[in-house]
Amino acid sequence: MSPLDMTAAPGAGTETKVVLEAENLGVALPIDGKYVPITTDVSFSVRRGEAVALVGESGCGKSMTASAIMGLPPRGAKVTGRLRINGRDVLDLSPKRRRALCGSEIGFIFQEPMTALHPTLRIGRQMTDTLCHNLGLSRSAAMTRAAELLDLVGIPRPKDILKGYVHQLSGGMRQRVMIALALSCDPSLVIADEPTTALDVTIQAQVLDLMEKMRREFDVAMLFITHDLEVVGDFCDRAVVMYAGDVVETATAAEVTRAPHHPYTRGLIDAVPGTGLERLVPIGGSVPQIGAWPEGCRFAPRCSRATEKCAIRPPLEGAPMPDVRCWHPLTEERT
Amino acid sequence: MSAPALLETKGLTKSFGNVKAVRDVDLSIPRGSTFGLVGESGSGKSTVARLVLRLIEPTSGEIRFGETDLRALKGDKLRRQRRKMQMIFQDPFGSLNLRMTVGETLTEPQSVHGLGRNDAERRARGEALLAEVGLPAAAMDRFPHEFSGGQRQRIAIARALATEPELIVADEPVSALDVSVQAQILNLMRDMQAEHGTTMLFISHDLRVVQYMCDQIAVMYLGEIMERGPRHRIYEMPQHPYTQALLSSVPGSPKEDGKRAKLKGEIPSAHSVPSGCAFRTRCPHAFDRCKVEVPVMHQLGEGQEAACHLLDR
Repeated sequence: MSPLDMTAAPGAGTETKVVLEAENLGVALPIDGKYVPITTDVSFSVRRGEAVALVGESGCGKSMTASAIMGLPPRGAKVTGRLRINGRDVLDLSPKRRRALCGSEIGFIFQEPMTALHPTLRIGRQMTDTLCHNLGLSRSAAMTRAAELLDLVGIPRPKDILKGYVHQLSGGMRQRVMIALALSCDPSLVIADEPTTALDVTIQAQVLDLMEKMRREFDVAMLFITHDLEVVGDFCDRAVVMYAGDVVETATAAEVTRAPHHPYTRGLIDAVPGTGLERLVPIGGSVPQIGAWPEGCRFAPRCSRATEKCAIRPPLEGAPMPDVRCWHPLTEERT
Repeated sequence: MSAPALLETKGLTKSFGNVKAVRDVDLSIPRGSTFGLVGESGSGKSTVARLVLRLIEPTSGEIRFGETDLRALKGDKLRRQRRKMQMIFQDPFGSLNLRMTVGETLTEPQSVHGLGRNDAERRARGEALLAEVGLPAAAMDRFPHEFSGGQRQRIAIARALATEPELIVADEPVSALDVSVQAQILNLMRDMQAEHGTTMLFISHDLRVVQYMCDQIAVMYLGEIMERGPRHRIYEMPQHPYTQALLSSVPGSPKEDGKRAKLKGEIPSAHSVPSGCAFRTRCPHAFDRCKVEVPVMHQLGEGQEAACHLLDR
């Protein structure tokens, strides 16, 4: 099934409601006077209550895609394709309306709360600014709501914390504040960009538990950006694998982490140490530079299955296997 | 196990003011093996790395390198000793001198330690080192900024090998790298060790990487070793509640009652280490005795040891 088959139908049953839909989304940046593509043809959708992973290594375009969705691409960037949030095209909106929409319908959780949160504003001020602006609450009503939110994400003594600053908190607690802030305006979509990458494993487990609880309680669609396939298998329903600015494979998280069809995804799995001690199989070579992508399949130069046919760029749909951008997808299941 | 220890520490302790970063660490690393030090941030593992190389001075305790008492060395003797111990750092962008060509980076340590008869010989050795880590000789005349993260880490490995060290301390050497590159570097480090018989102290927060790389493992928490032993014992039958929690927090581990988190709360500040067992404030099994008495290491067979009162029962 194609992720695009699910068209947004406002008022349809909440079970299948598509919250985010990207269709051939592309971002190009001006470099030396001409636009160089950073991502191309990125298509996927996220439904209410669903967690979808956007997974890939550095430079694959996952964060650029996220910033395009948030309406915060780098200065001068050209965003093409279509992007619908709750059925509404957002790329054509005026900056002001776009901002209003993002503020009320999207929550963000960044990797590094220390830089994403304001260092010299009290936590209470940061949270209430958002609540007052987006929900029109009074300052005191917003303060009450902020304390409730902090309590909800498991922060002890919320009233004291609201009076404090970000630097007084540990990494795990800061990420809890980020989560509270992301959920404060009751968004329908939460974008989490490597939210647990900077955390220790025992704290990562706590934060993932919290995000799962929040995802169910608030029934949000979640776009989870990560490089970690283990986290994808553990936390997400579906996964969109990116390589060199392209979506190379879309499937359920279980399929992507256990029996992927794209040779790149397989390569990622084989490169991570498991419980066995057999020698790791690295992916040879390195990711091509932006602007120097091969003409055909962008993974072909590093791929052991590549043939002459790979000089033609495989489509995501219409290649031998649906949702796999490859002329020679892996069909056998390996363990 | 039977090989004599190349590096041994006893009661190694480091305080920064009234912060006790490392307390009573006993290590014994057999020659030719890879010893893993795992723990979360603030566990003191990087401090141990710097202590055993004498990059920082211990507050108390012993460090022996083969027959040598490292703490007794000074000046020229210490410098000569340093040829035998090298380090690989986490950040390949910060650990190379950006103003030096790769060739200078690889020949300077040789000149400092009087290796090679002349520049030509040192340069030839630099090229051989590059070949060994999988880089072309042409890299000699280029600068670090011209290389990717993985390539820079290869250069850092070549530099560490330049003095023919007996011990390499690697502090989170692959944490900054993407997984496909990480696998290349891990394989390279395993090959390098097999080739040269180098002893390695390998520090990482990543339990899967440590499992792949290390023969012996010590688990640190808040400046102390909680458990240590051979790889298979630590991963297959961890006895300390902290080791158990750490292993089951790895993403993809089975979840009891749908929860991932096995531990509540966070690692306490090193300013206020809990009395008794340092881990007791987060331990799901803590009881009265843990508050008052520091647990001693219990011998559990095959060289596995854990410091926990539960093992008394």
